[in-house]
Amino acid sequence: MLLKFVKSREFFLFMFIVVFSLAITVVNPNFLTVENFADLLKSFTVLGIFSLGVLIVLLSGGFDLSFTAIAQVAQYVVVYFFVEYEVDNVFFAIIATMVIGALLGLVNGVIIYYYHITAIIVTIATNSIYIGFLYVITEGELLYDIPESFSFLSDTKIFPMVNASGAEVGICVGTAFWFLLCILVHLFIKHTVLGRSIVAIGGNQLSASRVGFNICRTTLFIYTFVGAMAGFASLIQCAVFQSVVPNSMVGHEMEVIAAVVLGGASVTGGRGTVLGTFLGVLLFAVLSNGLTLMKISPFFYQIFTGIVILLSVSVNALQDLHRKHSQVRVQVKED
Amino acid sequence: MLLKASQITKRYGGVTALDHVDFDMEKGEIHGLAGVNGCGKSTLMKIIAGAEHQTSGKIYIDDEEKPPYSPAQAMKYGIGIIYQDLSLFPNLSVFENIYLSRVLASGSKTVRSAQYRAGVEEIIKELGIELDLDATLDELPIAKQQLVAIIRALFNKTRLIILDEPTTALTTQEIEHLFGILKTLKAKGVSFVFITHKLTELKEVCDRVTVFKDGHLIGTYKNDETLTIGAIEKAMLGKELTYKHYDSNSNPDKVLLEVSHLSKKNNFKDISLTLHEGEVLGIAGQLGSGRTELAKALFGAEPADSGTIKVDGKEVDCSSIHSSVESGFAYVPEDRLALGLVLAQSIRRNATICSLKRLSGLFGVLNLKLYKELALRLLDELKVKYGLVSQPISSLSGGNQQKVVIAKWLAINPRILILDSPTVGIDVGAKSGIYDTVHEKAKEGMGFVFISDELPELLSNCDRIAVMSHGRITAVCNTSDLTEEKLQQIIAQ
Amino acid sequence: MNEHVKRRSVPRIISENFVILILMVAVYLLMWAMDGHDFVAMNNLSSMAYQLPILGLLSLGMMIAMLSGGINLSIIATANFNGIMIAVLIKSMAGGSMLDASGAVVLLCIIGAFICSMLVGVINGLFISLLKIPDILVTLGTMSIVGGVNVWLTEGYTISDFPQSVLALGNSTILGIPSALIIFVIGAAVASFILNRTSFGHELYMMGSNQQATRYSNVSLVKVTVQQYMLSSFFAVLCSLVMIGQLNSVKADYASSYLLVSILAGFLGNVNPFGGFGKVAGTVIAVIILQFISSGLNLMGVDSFLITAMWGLIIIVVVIVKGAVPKIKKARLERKNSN
Repeated sequence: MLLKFVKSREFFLFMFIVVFSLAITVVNPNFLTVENFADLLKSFTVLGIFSLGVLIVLLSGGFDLSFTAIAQVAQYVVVYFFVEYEVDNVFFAIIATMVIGALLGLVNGVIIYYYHITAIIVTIATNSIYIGFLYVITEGELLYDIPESFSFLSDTKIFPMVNASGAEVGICVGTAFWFLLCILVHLFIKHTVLGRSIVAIGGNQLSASRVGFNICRTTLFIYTFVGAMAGFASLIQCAVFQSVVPNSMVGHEMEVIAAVVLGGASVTGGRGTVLGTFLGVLLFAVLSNGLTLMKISPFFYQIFTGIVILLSVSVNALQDLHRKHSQVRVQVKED
Repeated sequence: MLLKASQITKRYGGVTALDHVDFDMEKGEIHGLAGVNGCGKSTLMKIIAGAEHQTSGKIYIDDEEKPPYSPAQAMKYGIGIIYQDLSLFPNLSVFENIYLSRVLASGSKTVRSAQYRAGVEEIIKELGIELDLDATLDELPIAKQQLVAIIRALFNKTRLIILDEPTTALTTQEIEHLFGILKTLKAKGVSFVFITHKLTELKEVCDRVTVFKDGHLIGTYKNDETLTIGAIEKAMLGKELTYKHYDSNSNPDKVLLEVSHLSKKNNFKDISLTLHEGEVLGIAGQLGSGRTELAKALFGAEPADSGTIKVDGKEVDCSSIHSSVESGFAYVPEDRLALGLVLAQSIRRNATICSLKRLSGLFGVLNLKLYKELALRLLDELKVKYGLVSQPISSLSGGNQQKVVIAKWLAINPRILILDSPTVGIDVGAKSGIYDTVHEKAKEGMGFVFISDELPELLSNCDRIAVMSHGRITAVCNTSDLTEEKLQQIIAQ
Repeated sequence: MNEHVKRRSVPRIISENFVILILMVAVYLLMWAMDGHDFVAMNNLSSMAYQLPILGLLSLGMMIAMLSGGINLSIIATANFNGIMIAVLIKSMAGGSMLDASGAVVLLCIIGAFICSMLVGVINGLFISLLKIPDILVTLGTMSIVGGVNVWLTEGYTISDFPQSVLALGNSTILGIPSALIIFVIGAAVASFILNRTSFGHELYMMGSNQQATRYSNVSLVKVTVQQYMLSSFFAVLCSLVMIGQLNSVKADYASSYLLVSILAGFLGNVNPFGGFGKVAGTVIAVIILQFISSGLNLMGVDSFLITAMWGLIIIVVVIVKGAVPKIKKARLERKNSN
């Protein structure tokens, strides 16, 4: 059992994060402070919540490239109308963004399920539809007037601590929601029939339908769920940045997918864990922050991301090839 | 009576797949089904399992008429089907594979696995097997996965289990083990439908055998001393399959292929054999004896670790398909649909794929005239029946497909052609066509390695037969000294 | 013998692309109806002739990757990389200003950049075929790396003022025809020739449908995949030359919106997203349709973002229509049977 864990992707990621963190700390001691870490987690909360949605899609063997567009739309609509009608309630906002996100995601699900077409193509299409119309209708205008209550997500700390200079530091509510969602999604995947059916469909869709899993409901749920997660993430994003910029997230889909893949999820479905995904996001966070603290040009960040993706998928691939190679095909009689 | 199907007819579009078929199952019975591909046996089983619905006819379960039902409903009636692909989840644990369908049937929203554990363990104990419930399914060998599928069916309280070709991927011992389990369960009142193309297995394990041909039920026979394999075969094919005797073309003075001490870890060990010009060397041996692995090593698809291979007395490199083919090898794989053909592409593309390099000049530019001519010539030579060369090869019958696989290799004149179970699932006419081609080419000096499960086929076609078992060659005999019984004995040793 | 049974009255290029040809004509008429004289005016036609090659060349490169059921996400990064490499190489060899560079230097630099771009294709091909990693992940990785290199080399700025000899490749006219269009037409012809008339083309289609069976027919998957992605890169290179000619500058994020459109062109042009099937002619016709739409909408003064949304809508409509056709056929068949 222990050996299995030591050999697992999660352990490998964890060790990598630890080693890398130590290396950065040697160069810049500011890295390993509560303040820096809380900030780091806060700025990666959005990516983290996106990644939970993406994990569910990849687990089922699907794909989604439209979640950032969904997030932009949900964010814009909610902020615009909340300001317009002077509703200043963050909890309503959470519900509203998630509902809008869920509906837009459901559209993907319906098309993918009923027309049996590659999810990649459908979601590329809906991505451009959502973003296109968002721009056309809003004319690309930015919103700076964010309802005040939203800052609850980004500024309020749970278990606040006071640092040497007297400022409050700690994990913000948004990040706490991320952690909570991680736990909920983990429980959902492991212990509900719907969660297991997602994993089962990712393992073998034909078997799943023969055994009696409801493929239709599951597919629709998956894409709805990504949409809802995207909606929620978008609200945190606008709380953190205190602005709504219609192109602030779109175009970063691949980073999210990369983080999930780095966390051990397979793009062909059926494999992936919440812990792995969480560590994948964390590794990205540590890398980006580390590169900044080590005063390495931000231009390198993208290159670094690419190399990390290629390396991590190569490790997976080599393991698979090795396993296939060393398989016992024939019980050879020895002398 | 457990199940009775009466006057079942099934039409797809204009095609009649089943024509007024009557079929019944007793409690605690193993009922074998035989027939060539497309004879309707699978269609009937799908209807019984609820995966398809009959166009007309009635099904009675426990003497009660049931309207067409769904697979889930079938499960409630106690009918389950285990497809050839097993329908399991490679990424889930063994335990979960077993209990998940039960959770689904219960309508519960959450999974509480602990309550199922005792039940599953009890079934495993009753069967007297060892199974690690917490292992991930794809870590298990295929035989164990098969047991998982059976245990899952039992756990769902299935009274009638339909097994679709369960033995194709199993070794001899595994098959024996499976049969043991079937008999244990039969004694407990579980019924099985057993579909296979290996007639010896029907004879060995079934209580009754039903034969299908072209959508008709030819007959249901009690499996006693009066039922012979020949009789089943005759019912299946409509005529008796006779094996011609071929004169040997072997030239004992010229050694074409000499393999010495070829080994590959976990595949085969210390293989030495020779093949003469114009000789047909048979390889007999059960699945898992290493015969296919040896063939793939000679072909360079999965190269050996050590040993030497000589062609025409010169040592050759077989470390990749490319170098093996350069050395004169060609291989017709066992799995025609996955490895032999690109089903979606045209007949012409499939027929010419191996010759493209010869048909092209500078920068790989094809000579279109030669390309088109070659395709027609090859198809003509092997008497392939087809409509248009541009049609997908999936439109051909199995026998004609196999002829194209052979044709694509003959086009480049290999020195040694390895045929791995080339006649499985194809009709009688195509079979004898393939035998004729083999001997025609042998006359021209080509050497053949002929792997097969069908002993009469080996005896009629081969000059010598090597027997493999546990990754080794255990005997090499001249066919003239052999009878089927004798060969059977040698294999069983 | 069987070959001559069926007589062909229409050329294959028309019969195979019948639906999209009709669509092309319909779109043309529609745009004509909506824009009136402007759409068929000479300057609109010539501006289409300038714009079409960029999308066209990218779509061809994308289509070649799609033939094995993949998507080359790195294609636009590669195109920009090629342009940036040309600029960087010329600058370093000519010492500062690109305008001072001699013809020989320019040629050398174009070749140098070409080799670098081909290398991207080789890396893609090797990772996909040797390690058997899904192509989308490999090209995602190389997109990120190459895109990062682009940003790093340019520091996020635009590099402009190319020497006339480079610009001429993509921005001159021969007998009144824009050179970009000529490059595209030749490129399409070459692609078609390679796919239909060479052993590589045949092997690629076969590999797209069934990798293992193709391997068991003595075809090296590594070789075919590497060649495939080199060819895909090659079209990115051509595209980059045209882009330099028309924009007289390079930047790390040029043409990034074309990634979607090039996939759309393949999809609309009947390239099977699961691999094995797809023709140059279909893709070219699809590109023309898309160009008609985008130019037509542009003339109407439609917002460019609405055009983006249109691309998405077109995909969805195509998906729905493609999904509906077999259902209608099936329903008709069943009605026939019941009679």
